[in-house]
Amino acid sequence: MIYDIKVPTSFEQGDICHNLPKISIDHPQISNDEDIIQGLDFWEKFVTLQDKNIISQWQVNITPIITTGIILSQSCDLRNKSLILFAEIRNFNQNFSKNLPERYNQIRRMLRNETRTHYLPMCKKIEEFKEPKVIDFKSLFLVPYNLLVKKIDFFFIARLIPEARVVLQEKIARFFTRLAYDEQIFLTDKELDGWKISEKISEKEFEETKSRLKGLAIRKQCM
Amino acid sequence: MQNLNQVNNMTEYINDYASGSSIPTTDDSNKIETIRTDYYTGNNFDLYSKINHFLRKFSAILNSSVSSSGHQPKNMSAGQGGGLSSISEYDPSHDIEELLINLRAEFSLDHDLLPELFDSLIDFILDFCQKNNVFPPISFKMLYLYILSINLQGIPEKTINKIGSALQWRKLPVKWVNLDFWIEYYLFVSTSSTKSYKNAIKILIQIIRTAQIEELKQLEFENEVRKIIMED
Repeated sequence: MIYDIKVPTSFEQGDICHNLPKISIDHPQISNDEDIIQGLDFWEKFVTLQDKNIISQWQVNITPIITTGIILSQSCDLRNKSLILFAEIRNFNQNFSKNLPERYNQIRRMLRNETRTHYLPMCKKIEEFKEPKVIDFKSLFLVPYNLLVKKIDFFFIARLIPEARVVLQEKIARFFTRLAYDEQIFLTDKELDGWKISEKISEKEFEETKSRLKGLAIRKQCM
Repeated sequence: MQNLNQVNNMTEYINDYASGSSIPTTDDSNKIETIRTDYYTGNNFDLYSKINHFLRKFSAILNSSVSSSGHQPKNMSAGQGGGLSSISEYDPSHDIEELLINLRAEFSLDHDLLPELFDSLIDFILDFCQKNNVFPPISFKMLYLYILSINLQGIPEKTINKIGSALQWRKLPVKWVNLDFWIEYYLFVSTSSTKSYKNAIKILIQIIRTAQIEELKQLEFENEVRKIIMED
């Protein structure tokens, strides 16, 4: 088992917590009647802004959702009045393969090759881990340290054992140090058609690329 | 007020055993007896027993909808994508409708209890969903319309808050809550309601929208993970 379920006296990187209020700023809403009905969010409304004083009249609401997450902040940064960075831990409702060698390869792929995700194995002793879970490094949120330490046993689920924490640290480092690059694939005119279909390239982009960079398909990519 | 508390107590009790094996054990029977004795001392036993009877039947219908689908409970993950099974083989709406028609006759003179009854039903459904990991067999709108047909004046504010809380804690599938219904309802009550009541609906609408976005993100995530693990 890679989890230690003994409730600690303080938090560390790699600790898994539940009952966390995830406050995400990607969908703040405005509480005017009209905007509520239309579903216009703050960002959409902001781009229509004409009078810079208007914004003070908007009441912006962000609704938290309760979720499970893992601490990404370094242990030395977990201190009074700081904010702790969490990555959301998600269910993955599609089962992994029942074929054991295949399953092994699936898990290995997720652990070694993928930057967005990290695999957390099941554990029958932990209610939330009756099935394997996956860390989603693209779903990040902050929770005040002072909130967590007020009720450690309410939030804490488990701590990763040192060996598992090292793997997590490696994945965190890989996710945040990804280099963005343009993937350049050398193709013939005929092969470019395959690129267009496979990557669902629009006709306009396809024609532009074809005339500009004959035989070169470009895709925005991260490592 | 006493009878309202009685309804809550009994709902809580029924919830304890209604899902899964619904056959009362000896302990359950003792509990029932104790509760019955308590209620006999109240002034509204008849009324209470009608509600109790209704909730039991409602429970039986919900449970048979699970057993008839041959459903195997899974880890509940409402709001974190799918994971919920829908019930396709048995449509309980007819049975529920019949039950509510009888209820209409029973409660023709007791309109004050309807909000509490409606709230109990929602409690019941929340608990049912979580324990069985299934999509509720009757839509929220339908349930509301049935109770409306026996003169429910409006959805109680505490029920609205309860639904919002269940969504935030991912105990309820967001699709069941039906955003369009709540927008219609908000428009319907907006001229005649108190500020607090309108706010409760507004907050719920915001929670539904947030939960919908979260659900989309979860689906997008699942698609990505599926690609990763299905790679050759």
